Amino acid sequence: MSTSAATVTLPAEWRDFLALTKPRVMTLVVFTGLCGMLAAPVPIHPVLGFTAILCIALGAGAAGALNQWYEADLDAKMKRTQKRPLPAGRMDKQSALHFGVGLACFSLVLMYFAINLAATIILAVSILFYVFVYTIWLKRRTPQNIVIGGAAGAFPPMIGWAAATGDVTLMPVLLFSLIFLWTPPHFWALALFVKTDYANAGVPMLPVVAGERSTRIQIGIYTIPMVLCAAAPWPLGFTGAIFGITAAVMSGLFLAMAVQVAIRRSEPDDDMAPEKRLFKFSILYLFIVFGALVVDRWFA
Amino acid sequence: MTDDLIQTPPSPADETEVIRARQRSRATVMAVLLGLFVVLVFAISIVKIQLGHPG
Repeated sequence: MSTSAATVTLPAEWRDFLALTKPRVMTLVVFTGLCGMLAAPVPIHPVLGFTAILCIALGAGAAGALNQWYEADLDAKMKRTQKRPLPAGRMDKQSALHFGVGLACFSLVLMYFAINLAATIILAVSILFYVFVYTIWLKRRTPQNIVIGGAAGAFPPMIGWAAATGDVTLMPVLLFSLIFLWTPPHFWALALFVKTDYANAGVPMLPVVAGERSTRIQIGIYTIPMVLCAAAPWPLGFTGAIFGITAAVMSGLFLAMAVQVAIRRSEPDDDMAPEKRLFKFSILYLFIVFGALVVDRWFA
Repeated sequence: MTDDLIQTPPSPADETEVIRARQRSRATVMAVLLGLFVVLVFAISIVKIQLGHPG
């Protein structure tokens, strides 16, 4: 495996540029952004709504491309990321940098002219936060990398809301907080069963630096405010019973799985089934809770 | 490993053909995306005029 740009002699295929945008991560970003937009009290014209979601997707893709540009050396050391275009030698670093910067600028200009300034500013902050704060500053320096860096992934519902209404109120802040607090248990559950990969690459993920015991406790601790954030919109009068009950049930299940992970100790050759279950459920959790938000707004 | 040792490097003609094929496919994708962008800008303009937004 080589990451050297000098070894890349052929131009990259368009599929490699697509891979650079992390399409699977983008799915969750687009979904939460769409839900934030549809949950807003002001309806948005479908063409403008589509454009806003396109801008969120392009902005997320740009951030993903710039992340891969900066982390090509790390990606080459981890099994999970070795086949990405840069570490696999299918693309040179300069092309990735130009693509990422170009896509970021394009998404911001389109958002500004088609939608509004508020959505553009939040989109810009989320891209810059992901690239400079998470990727360049925190990721290689502190085990709290994903706690603070998680904010970048929490912006999409706020952008969607701002695209529809032109401003930000308490409800999008709660949606932001929900994803922000969801990120640590989600990523630390993953980090518990891919610990070796992160350790080999020298990434100071919490299980590598502070140990498994501390990580498990932190998963439990972060789940409590996350559950409170998910439960808050109904009693505060921002949503109806559909969201309130769905959020309560799903959060209860999340909390039960998180507690199970928090109190157990792994054995040698442990299959880490509870951690894998929590990781998978955390993705489903976000889809269902945000889906319930839209159903509650439009069908209640 | 053995395959790597006996594999002959691609000839310059083959490599040129691969480069051209990739450039063609990238140009096609770019043309399609630009076409879709033109349609999107047109649709946004129409919607903004309908909604009475000048910007």
